[in-house]
Amino acid sequence: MTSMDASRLGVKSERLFRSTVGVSVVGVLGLLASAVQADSLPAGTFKIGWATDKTEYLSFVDEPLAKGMAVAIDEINQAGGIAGKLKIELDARDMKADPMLGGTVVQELVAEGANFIVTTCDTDVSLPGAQIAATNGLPVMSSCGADAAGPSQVEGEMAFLNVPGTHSQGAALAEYAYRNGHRKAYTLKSKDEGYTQTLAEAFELRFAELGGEIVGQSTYSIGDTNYRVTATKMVNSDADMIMSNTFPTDTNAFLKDLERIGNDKPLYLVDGNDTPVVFEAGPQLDGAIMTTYGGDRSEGSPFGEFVEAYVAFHGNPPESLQTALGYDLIKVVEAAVIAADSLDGKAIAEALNNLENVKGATGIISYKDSPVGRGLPKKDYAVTKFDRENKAFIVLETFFPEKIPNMN
Amino acid sequence: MMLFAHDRWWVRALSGATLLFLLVAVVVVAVDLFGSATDRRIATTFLISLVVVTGMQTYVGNSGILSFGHTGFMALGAYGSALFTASTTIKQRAIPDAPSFIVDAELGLLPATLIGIAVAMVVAYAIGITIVRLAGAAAAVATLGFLVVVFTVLSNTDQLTRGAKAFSGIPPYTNLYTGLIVVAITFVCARLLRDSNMGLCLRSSRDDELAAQASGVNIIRSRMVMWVASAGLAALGGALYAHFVLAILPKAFHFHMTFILVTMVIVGGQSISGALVGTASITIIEEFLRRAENGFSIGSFSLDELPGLTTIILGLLIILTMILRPKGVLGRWEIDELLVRRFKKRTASALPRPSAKGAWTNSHTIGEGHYSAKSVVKESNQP
Repeated sequence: MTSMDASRLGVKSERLFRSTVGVSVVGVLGLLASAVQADSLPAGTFKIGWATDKTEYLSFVDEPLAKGMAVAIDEINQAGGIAGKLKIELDARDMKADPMLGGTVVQELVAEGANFIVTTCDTDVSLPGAQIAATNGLPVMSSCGADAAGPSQVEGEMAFLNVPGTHSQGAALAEYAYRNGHRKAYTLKSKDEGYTQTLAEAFELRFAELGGEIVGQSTYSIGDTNYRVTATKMVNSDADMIMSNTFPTDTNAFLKDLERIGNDKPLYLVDGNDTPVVFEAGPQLDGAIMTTYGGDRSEGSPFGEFVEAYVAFHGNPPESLQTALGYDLIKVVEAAVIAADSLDGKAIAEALNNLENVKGATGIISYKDSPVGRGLPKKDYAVTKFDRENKAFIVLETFFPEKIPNMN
Repeated sequence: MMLFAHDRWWVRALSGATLLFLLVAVVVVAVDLFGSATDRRIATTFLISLVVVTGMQTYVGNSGILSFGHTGFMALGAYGSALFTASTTIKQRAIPDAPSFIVDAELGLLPATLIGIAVAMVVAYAIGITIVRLAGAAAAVATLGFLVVVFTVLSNTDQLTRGAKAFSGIPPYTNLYTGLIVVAITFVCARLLRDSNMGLCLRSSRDDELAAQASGVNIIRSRMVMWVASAGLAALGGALYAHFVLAILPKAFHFHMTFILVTMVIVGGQSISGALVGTASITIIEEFLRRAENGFSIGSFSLDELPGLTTIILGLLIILTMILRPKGVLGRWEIDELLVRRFKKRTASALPRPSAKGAWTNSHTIGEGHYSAKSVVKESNQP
């Protein structure tokens, strides 16, 4: 080592030392600031009112979400509550996937003193309740509704989604497919739900924009059990990939029919399939990929820690991705209340709008300057393949789409 | 009491409607004065259901044919009114490809509601050509088919309705008092239709189709008039709904809503008063069960969550009604008719027995509850 090398190393070490000290000071100041900031919060209870679906078709997603929320609430309350003094109470009431009843339930929750409103996992069904929450000055978030247009339909910048929305996921799927050499796609969607329609439409728009071609489009009805005609059309088309907006049990029926017809085209699936039930779909999963959340699921990762906490709390591993989304929702609310340093609904909504880098189970969550739109979080998508033997999702890549199609 | 037994059928109809309206109004004003915001919301929901159920009863009660399709008419009324009252800015963003006469229109509540009602009535007439010729289970299944068609069409006409997605930005016109006004209009229309010659003809066909036909009753025409009118009233309820929830989507007007509305119709009975009794009782039972579903405790007794309890109990209620009172709680009677009947029984026991001759008078018919074809013909000669 020459003296010049030594001197360069010395300079580097000094820089490293300075930057380490700098980062530490900023970190300590940040912690102090958040502690000081949360000083104005009164001790007591922070009530989250949830107009959830316990009995109708959205209960299959809201129920696992509730389990994930319970894990986060227990974790926060064990540590003394939000900012160490504000215990979270969850008041979940059945709105039976009925928009009008949803409004009544939210009105009831407002009257019961809720500080924050959560609505069911469908942005459209959530709207009447979300509007009542906003009118009463309370921030409102759909548990996992994904229609990107949802928050903008509620006045006062009070409404939020817990996921980045169908438009960005469709774009992510299209960008990944195009990057992997696919140029001709056949899509399957349903007009029964915003989710099963707009995600595929976003895929089609972005795929075409990148230079790909949509060579065929088919529709299905949620609950269909026979996909033979659709599967035959797909297999006989010149598409080099199939994009399906289905989720179980529709996915399982669709993939079984593709298998019967001998499909060998790769399948591109969506996050609704992030549940162990999908593994019953059989060998077609070997040639399938899926976009979802929660990229790194290894031990010690935020997702791994969540799974550990979930098992400790419930005694069994999480049954679907929605459990992690429930956990994320509570962590986001906690961060917003700390940042707002107030129980005032408008202050919490404003803080939520400016929230950055919240550590959730499914990754880092930011609402500030979200490229997806106000009220929608920016959260990286994970592209996974299916390990049928171990019933596990193997992450191939995590990323956020470069461009999101403009849709109404 | 004199008005309820008046010689002129329309006086009886209007006084009966007024009695029903006063009953509703007293409760609603009490809720407004002493209830919470949630109570007011539940009361408004009740008024909306009451309008639709009364509309359904106009056809179902008078014809005796069950309809599952009125939720479809409700949807047409809701979309009709919503599309023409929403601001052009919202429509340019939400449905830019809709015809310009919709995108550029920004009408008031009344004209927009009338458009919704007109659309529903035209559709009702078109499908009615076939449906009113059917009876029993075939007619009920056909109306169910209509409901599915409306749902599918609304879900797939993206340019017009946003498809399966919610259409929002609807002006908030519905409150307790607009609800009350609409209920008043509905009661008057429904009672006038029921007590009119057309209504009597249809009711006679409900009780005995062959006898009615033999007496010269044009059943198809009567059914058609009532079917179209009841579709219009259901559409009126739909408009009220749209301006209350402020965001509508096709699946809101599907099987769940139909189940609740049909339960109200079945439990209440075959009259307009039955519509009120059915709607009120089911709303109260539903509210009570909904709260019980979330779990509760009274003293040392506590109950965990019971999801699905409401649906189970409402289903059982339909079965029980069918077994114990197949014609519903009030059967074919209006409350005013029951009052007259009771009054007449009381006075009859105090007075000497009247002569049997000339028995086909209006008041006698109502008092004794006989609606034979002969009585209908006699009624039609009333002013």
